Amino acid sequence: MNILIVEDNLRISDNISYILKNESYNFDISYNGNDGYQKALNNAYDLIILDLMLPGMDGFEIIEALRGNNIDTPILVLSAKSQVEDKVKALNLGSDDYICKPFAAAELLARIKSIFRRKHDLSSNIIKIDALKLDTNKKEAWIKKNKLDLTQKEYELLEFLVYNKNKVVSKIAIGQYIWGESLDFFTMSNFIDVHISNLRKKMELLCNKKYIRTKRGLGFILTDEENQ
Amino acid sequence: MKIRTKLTIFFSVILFVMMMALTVWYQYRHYYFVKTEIDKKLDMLSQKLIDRIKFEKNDLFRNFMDMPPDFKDFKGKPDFKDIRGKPDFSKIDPPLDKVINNYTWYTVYDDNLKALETTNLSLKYPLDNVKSFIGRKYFITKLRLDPDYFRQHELNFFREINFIMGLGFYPENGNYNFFCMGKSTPFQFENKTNYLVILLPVNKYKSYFEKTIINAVFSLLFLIWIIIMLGSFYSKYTLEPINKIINDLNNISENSLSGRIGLNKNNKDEISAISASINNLLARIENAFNMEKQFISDVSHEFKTPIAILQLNIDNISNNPNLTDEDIDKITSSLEILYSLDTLIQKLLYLSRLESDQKIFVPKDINLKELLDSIINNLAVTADLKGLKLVFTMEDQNLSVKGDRDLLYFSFYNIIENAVKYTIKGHVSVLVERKEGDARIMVEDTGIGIPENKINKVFDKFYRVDSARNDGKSFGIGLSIAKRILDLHHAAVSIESIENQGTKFIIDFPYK
Repeated sequence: MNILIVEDNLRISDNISYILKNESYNFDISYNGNDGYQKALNNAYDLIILDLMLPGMDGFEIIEALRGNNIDTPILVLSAKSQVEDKVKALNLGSDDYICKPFAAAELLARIKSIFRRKHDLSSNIIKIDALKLDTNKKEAWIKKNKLDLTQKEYELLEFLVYNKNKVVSKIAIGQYIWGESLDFFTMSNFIDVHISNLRKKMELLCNKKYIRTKRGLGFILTDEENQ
Repeated sequence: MKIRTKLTIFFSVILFVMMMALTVWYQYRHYYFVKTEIDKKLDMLSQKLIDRIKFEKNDLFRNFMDMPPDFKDFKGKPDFKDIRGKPDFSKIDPPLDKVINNYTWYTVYDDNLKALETTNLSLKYPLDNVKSFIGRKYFITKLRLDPDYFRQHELNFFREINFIMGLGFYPENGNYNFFCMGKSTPFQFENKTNYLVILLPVNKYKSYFEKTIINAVFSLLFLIWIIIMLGSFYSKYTLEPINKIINDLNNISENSLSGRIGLNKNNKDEISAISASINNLLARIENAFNMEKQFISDVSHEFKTPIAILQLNIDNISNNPNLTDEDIDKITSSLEILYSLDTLIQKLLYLSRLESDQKIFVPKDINLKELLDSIINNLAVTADLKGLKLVFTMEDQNLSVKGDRDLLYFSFYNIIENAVKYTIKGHVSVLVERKEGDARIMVEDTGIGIPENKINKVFDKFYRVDSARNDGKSFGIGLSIAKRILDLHHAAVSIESIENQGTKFIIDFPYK
């Protein structure tokens, strides 16, 4: 998978490249708008991670120009602009997803994977982890042959954990991914605890394997490994 | 009072006083003229009488003391003409003579104020009254004459060529009241000072005076009306630019600061100058306002990037399998603080947009039941974990208010969440009721309460009732945003609180 990162802040782009490297993605980095636009125009990428505020062409202009040139590479916007109007504008211009800064690595990965599934028809839209099966199109989950009866939030939570399989995800990452709005930490933490515990109960009804584990202090992890 | 009214009153009063002065002056001139005429006449009459008294030097006049003057006494005297006879009141012509045109009576007093002689009707008239006029140059008095007296006594009319001596009687529509102008003239006779008091009826002038005064009053009233109308129109015309400024300013504050007062370039008066000054001031305020707005927005965005970097760095570290428990605690707490910082920045941005009126909404009907249900469902989890009862009571399920759903959600969420946060045990209840047409929302808790002297400060940015309560994770800005949102909806908020017993937020939405 080939990803183009257009981000003028060196530290952010370093971090993103570190995250992507760990997931074995190939990537190019561009530090200004004009260069990013040229690269996106001349090379075939599977995804463009685009900052909005850039020297040279800004993010909006790049999206507009690329879509104007019939380049339909998925674009994931990454911006400090958190106002609804900016989100709506970026999505209307033709970007595929929008992440507000600050964001967790887990959130970035989940969104990248989600875009890949949607846009590149990754073998199928079914993700399997041991006996757990997720249909990302229908938003349904099964364990073996039994369908899990999940609420929307619970499904999103499960999908998020699945996308970050075998990685610890913090409560904050979950909160930012699923609720998006700026909830008070105390409230959000309680929310997540309740949803995780509900999700666990539902899963353990069908199978005695513990998929979701609590990592002390850090958060949660979904894993298919037996021990630990 | 409006300036327009003040100006109108001011000019009206000034003009009225001027008109009044003119009228009084005119009246006085006329009065003076008439008075001078009467005066001349009195002088002439007095002189003639005194001359006659001196000329006769006999007792002729003294006889008048005891009896009415008899025609016989005057018979043969060349200056007198007999016009005696039964008076036929209807046939008595008013004398037409321009100078001596009234009936006169007189009394002569000596220096002891003893009446030496008088016209017989003067006897009837209370002498004491007349005595008091002696020594005065002029006086005006009123005589009440008894018509029966005339019927019982034979009246004597003496018409001299130039004047009538004695009393003439002329019934004017049955009115026997005579307004008289009088004069007392001292004269020397037989080495004694005598006084001649002479009265001249001036009824004719009186009615003339009255008429003139009535005319003057009516014309003054009419003038006042015209002055008020003119003044009102004129001040309206003059103050029109000020009204325009007021309208323009109202529009500016209701919408945005970008508007300006329209200037009339041809006009160089004070109002143009003040408009220019206000525009200047507005420009500076707008500039400052924009700078602050831009500053908050810039700062917020500038904060986000470093926070993002920190969060990513910490994220990456936390995936290291070799961390000790202590490391993990520190990492977790750093992440939480970063998250709270991010939340604060979000809220600050939100508030700055609310305060700069960027977020203008179109009010829609918001069903309170649906809105509060979703908030309470979200907060129920937290309340459950704390062992609090979260009660929602609503009498009229269809009660709705006008506003923006997202804003109201934020506002109510913050108020109820605050109640949950600061209550350790007991309950938090949300009650919605109709109160005199308003929708009233009450959020009551059994929490730690707010000291009375600090209730007003609860809505201040970053204010915390007790600094020890600061958990380092949330910042006191939620309530000030909530208040600002309620202000935008014209809702009134009040707080009742007893320390350590509980707090009650009362929100009144105006009837839409």
